[in-house]
Amino acid sequence: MTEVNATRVAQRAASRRTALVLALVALGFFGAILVAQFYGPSMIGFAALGVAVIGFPLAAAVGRRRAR
Amino acid sequence: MSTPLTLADDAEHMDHPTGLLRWLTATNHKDIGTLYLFFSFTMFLVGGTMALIIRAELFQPGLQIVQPELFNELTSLHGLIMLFGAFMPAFVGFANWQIPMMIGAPDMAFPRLNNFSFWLLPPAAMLLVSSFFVPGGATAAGWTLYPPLSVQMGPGMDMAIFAIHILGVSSIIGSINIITTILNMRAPGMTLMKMPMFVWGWLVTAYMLILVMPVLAGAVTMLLTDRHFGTHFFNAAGGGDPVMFQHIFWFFGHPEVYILILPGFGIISEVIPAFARKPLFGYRSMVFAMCAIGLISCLVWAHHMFTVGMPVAGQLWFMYASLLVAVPTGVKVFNWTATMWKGSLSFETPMLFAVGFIFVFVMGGVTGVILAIAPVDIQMQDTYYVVAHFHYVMVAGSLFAMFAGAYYWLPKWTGHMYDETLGRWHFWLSMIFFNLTFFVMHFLGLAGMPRRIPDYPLQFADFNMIASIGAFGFGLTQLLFLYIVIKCIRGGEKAPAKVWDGATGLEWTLPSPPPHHTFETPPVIA
Repeated sequence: MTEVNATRVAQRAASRRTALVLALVALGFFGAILVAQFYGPSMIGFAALGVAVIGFPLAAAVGRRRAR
Repeated sequence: MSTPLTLADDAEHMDHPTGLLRWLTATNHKDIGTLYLFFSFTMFLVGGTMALIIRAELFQPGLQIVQPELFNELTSLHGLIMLFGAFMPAFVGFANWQIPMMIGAPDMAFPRLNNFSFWLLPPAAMLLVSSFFVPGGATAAGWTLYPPLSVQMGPGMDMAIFAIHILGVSSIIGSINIITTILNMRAPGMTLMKMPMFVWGWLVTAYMLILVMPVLAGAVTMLLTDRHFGTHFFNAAGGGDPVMFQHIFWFFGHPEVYILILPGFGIISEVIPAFARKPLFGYRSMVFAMCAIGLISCLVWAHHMFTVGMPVAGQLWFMYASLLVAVPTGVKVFNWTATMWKGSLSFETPMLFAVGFIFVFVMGGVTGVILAIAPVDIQMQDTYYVVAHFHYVMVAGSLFAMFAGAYYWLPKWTGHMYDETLGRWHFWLSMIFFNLTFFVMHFLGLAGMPRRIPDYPLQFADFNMIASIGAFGFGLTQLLFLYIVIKCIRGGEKAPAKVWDGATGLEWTLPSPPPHHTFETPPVIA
């Protein structure tokens, strides 16, 4: 039973991590569109989108690797 | 991987409330799925009523029933309600019911968030519908909310913007829940490449929603600040760029079309093998085709804007990229057909809707390929040809897929068989009236009739009359569907656990209807 509960706790923690990453990606996109339009140059928008698309999963992957 | 619930956990959930409180506080994925499905059907009837008022006005030339202002409000709200209030929640309803049962999970990853995600919808729907009654009426800028119209309108526009924000939050929360459930709660042994196609369809869809919904939210937020806080994002008089809104909107809007069709592809990929009594042809290619469609759909948005004056290089890029979507879509149609080839076919109602889906969706796809060609699109922009095209994709595509799924899983959900004779009537009447309504619109468009107009020259009268008769027939036929569902819920022949002899998948290992808690001990997939 303890093993089952431990697995369940681990699963919940994994679910929370996944949800957090996805929520931050969504927030990143929302912010990127506003920032890009507010500051004018489209490079800012592309940079923000690039960070959201490539940088964030990369950071998450590095983070997971270090946590092991 | 999934973890079994303990007895203590089960007891904790045994005292779930009944009556109204059951639905208000529902955290069980089946209850929430039911809520989504009933809500979406209600909104389907509301949006459908608006469509019928539009068709009644267009029955003959001249202004008969509604004034032009109200006509524009009706076309705008019809689109918004059908997309955000009816179709998207309906597919989320299917996801809630089916995904945990198909992957062997006890529930969604975040049940309370699931409840919150649903209960955001009714206030948003009320905002949209009640905006008709505020000064200036509802938004009349079309469902695309283009500026400068959308910057100039009354409080009805603000209500629409707020409603879109709420609906967007609901969609994003729902998508996060679905992705998390699929990635973290699959039964032991169910690898990604063993997942049912419906689950794959939703996984790709949920990622797309997380990508594009915040973009729409950003666009309407900027509209809001343009309207009330002195910014000029899209106001040309203040140095803004109204065309930029179109770019941002369609970066959401085009993937939205695929968001509304990919879960449908998943349903069709479940139904056809069951009634062909053969495994799905080319499972891996179907998965890759879905992913490719999701990816390419984010690169083609400006084919909706060929007439805004973009450079030729831009036109060429968006034209070729749009044509490219036909390749993975063609792979799917080929595989569905190949699945049926030499199968032991039977044509119960779900299969009728699935085959009907392929027929009408291909027609919508072919007109889409035609419209993707820039010089052709420039001629047909904003004509009824476009209206015909997207209704073939949305109504005949998404809706027929949903009907196929509803009839396929209804016996599982309710524990009773539906009335097969009435189901077949529903299919044939839907098919005939749908084509009566929308096929003639191709001719109207080719003849030059513009969309979103309450009056038209005399030469368009005959085809409009046919389309209106078809629309009323199609609308009334959907009441038959409501009757079939209610009859099925109230009783009928008992459904076995495995309703269809050719069906495969974990949901068919459960009794019909499934118990309140399913897969308390996760199944092991070989």
